[in-house]
Amino acid sequence: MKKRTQKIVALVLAVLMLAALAACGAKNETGKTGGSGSAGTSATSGTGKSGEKVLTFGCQMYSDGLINPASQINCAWNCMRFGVGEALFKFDDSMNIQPWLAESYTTDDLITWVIKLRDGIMFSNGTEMTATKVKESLDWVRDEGPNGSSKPGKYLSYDATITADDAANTITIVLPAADINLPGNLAYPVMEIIDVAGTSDFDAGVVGTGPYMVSTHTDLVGYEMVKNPYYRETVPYDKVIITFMGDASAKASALQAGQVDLVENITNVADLKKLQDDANYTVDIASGVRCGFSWMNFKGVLGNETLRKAILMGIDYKTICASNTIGGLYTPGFSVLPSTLAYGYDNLNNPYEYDIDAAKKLLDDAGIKDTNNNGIRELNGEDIYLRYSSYENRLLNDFSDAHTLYLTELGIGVKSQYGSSDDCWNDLISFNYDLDNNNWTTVGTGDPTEYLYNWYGPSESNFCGYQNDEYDKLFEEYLASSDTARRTEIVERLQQILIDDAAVLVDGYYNSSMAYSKNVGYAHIHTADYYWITTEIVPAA
Amino acid sequence: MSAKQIGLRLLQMLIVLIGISILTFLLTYLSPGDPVRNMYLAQGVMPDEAEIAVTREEMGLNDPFLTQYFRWLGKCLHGDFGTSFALKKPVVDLLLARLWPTLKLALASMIIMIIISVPLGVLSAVYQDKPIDYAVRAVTFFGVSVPNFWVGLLLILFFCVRMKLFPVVSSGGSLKDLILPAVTLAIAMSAKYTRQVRTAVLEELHSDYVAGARARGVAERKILWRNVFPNSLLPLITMLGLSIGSLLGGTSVVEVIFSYPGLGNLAVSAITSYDYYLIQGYVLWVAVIYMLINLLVDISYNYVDPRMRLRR
Repeated sequence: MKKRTQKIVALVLAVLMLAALAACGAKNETGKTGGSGSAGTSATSGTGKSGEKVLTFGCQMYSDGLINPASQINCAWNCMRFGVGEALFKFDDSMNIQPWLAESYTTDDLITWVIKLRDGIMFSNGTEMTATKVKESLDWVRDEGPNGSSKPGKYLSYDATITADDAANTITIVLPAADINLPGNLAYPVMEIIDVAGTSDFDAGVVGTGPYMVSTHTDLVGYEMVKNPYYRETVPYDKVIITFMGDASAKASALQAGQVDLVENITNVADLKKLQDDANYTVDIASGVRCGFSWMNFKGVLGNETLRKAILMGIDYKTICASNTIGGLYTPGFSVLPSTLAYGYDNLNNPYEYDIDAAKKLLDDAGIKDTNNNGIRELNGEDIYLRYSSYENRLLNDFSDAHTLYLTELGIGVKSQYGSSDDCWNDLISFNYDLDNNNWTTVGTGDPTEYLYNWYGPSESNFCGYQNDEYDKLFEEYLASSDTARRTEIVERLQQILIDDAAVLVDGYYNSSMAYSKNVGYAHIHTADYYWITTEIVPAA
Repeated sequence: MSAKQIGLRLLQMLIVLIGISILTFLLTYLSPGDPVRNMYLAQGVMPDEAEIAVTREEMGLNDPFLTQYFRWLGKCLHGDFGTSFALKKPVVDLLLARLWPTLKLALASMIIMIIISVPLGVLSAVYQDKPIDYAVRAVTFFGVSVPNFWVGLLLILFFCVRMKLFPVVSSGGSLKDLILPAVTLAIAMSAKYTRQVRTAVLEELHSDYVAGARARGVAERKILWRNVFPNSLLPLITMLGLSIGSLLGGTSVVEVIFSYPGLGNLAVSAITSYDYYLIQGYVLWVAVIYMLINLLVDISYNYVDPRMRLRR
């Protein structure tokens, strides 16, 4: 009897286990309805039932894929990227400000700004986007700010006051201090406009003005979006199914397997080349706003100008960017600001284009020679070994390896100090480096001020010891100027000063990409990586 | 195992957990890397040292080690394991959200593993030194040698990309999503288990009682499944326990390859972002799981092997 009971219990347990496995997937732990045959499975793509147009999109999951703009910067980006949120302004592909939910703005003193909003904008729940609603949204994100890491105070001061005029459909922002880049700051994803009163689930159900709205969210899996019925333009798709994926290879494989029709940012060279070479897929690439570059420590051996110039002449940055290791992921360049920006890259002159023989001659003429025949040149009687700090992010270590090879050919030794991003940063701020490779967003809000501070003499973020009086004087004029044209001229000149001084070893400008199958008619990746799901993406005819 | 023994084991577990928590907290505290700076760096923003200093102070990271530890321990006793630095969510919520997918994957892998390894192991033992034995041993040798990430990638290439039978990304939660990651895990485990089953069954097959049963004319099949196999279970249950513990801790590599939202994936992201509280929560979870599973395994011996009961 006891044995029989044991057998029955074992059988029941086995059946329950199998039932649990078979039943999984219908509902997740949070009780939200799952993405059905959507996220994570061979999803319906192209045209669904009743001629419904469906886009299946694969993307990386940042911050669990949540879309609360106030909680984290990644979440703010998600909200805008997924086509839910829009801001008062946006960036074009040269990072110039364009009106978006705002129509225009006026300011006489850069302190008081009157922003005229577009008429007839509706949130996805049918509520009109009035001036009051915009004020509520901007006030809300600043109120929530201290609880999260979005730091909205950086884009719109906590001390700024906002007045709404519904009749004129304007908002007036009075800042505590002049800020020439308020429109750029308001274009940043953290400042997107949402219907605060109409949103019940800020993590995954934000109500915005974008072309798509959240229908269902499956934790850690993705979203099912539907078109915003109140959107001011034609929305190409009835449904967008967003599936989160682990890495670039997973995205590329999912695209090739037909699990998705569109993926963002293939960051693996082999996968990118494979898709580019396959006629079944289209890859759109844009040079982004990120610049990979190595700081040069002016307080060390690289304080020697001839040595710096020879280093730049001895490294073939174009060949490196076109190599099998890097190819397609970076656009070659020689300035600290990406070439796509409207800061006069085409007017810049690079006096240190690759010429290994000229580099060697330069060093020889300066007496920096290898007198003891050990393959390493000496400076002031000591072998030149450069401490090269780098970390694994966006191929930085690969660039550092490539630079090391060129430097070795030039007769300059390298001691690699590869570690974590934190190690690299610690080396930088303690000047424990000669070359320190990093990758930074240069104009997150369209303005390079914060980035260019790095080479301003008195700046606390000048971690390379660079000092140039002309640079400092021009930079101060830049900070004080409200003349946009003059500021652009100054930025162009600042770049040329850094180039002439051979102050920075530029890796290149990190590209963004979108790849899609023949089910998609057109898709485009923007310079500012804030806009993924847009009305530009249309189904194939 | 008596109730008193179980009680003692639970008390030991508590002491071990406290020890593990102190050790992990200390190691994380001493490790290089600044979680606040990493948090900002992950957002692609050049960190402002003043801002980092303020954030560090707000998070209490400037406090002495013991202050931080006891503050964290006090909260743990109230069920609050802290908030993730990187994800800004309670650690408990993050672990729980990934627990069910991990359980499913573990269960599926175990079922597949048992279905493969038990029959193959028995077959291999019964037909010792015959072609079938050699074939099984060759396959298991291969299974043990190949890294599971390579197996996973091959499965994706053939079954997802080429044949389009399964999804590449297995995050959807359906049975179809579970198959490839579970098979990937099961292949490596089956290779080990098959050999273990073979060894255990062989040992029993050469025992005196089996010779005696044969001499009495008992059918071979009956000897095998009624006597030999149950007696082989003890070492297998021990291994099974260890494997379950390992699976429930999450299998990072396989989860990353299949974009599977399990605990392993979470652990990798916690470690790379120096997310102290999340690392602590994860380590405690793994420790609890291993100790509980071990306890259950020990309790199960009483039911599997009557000799254990008779010893009392």
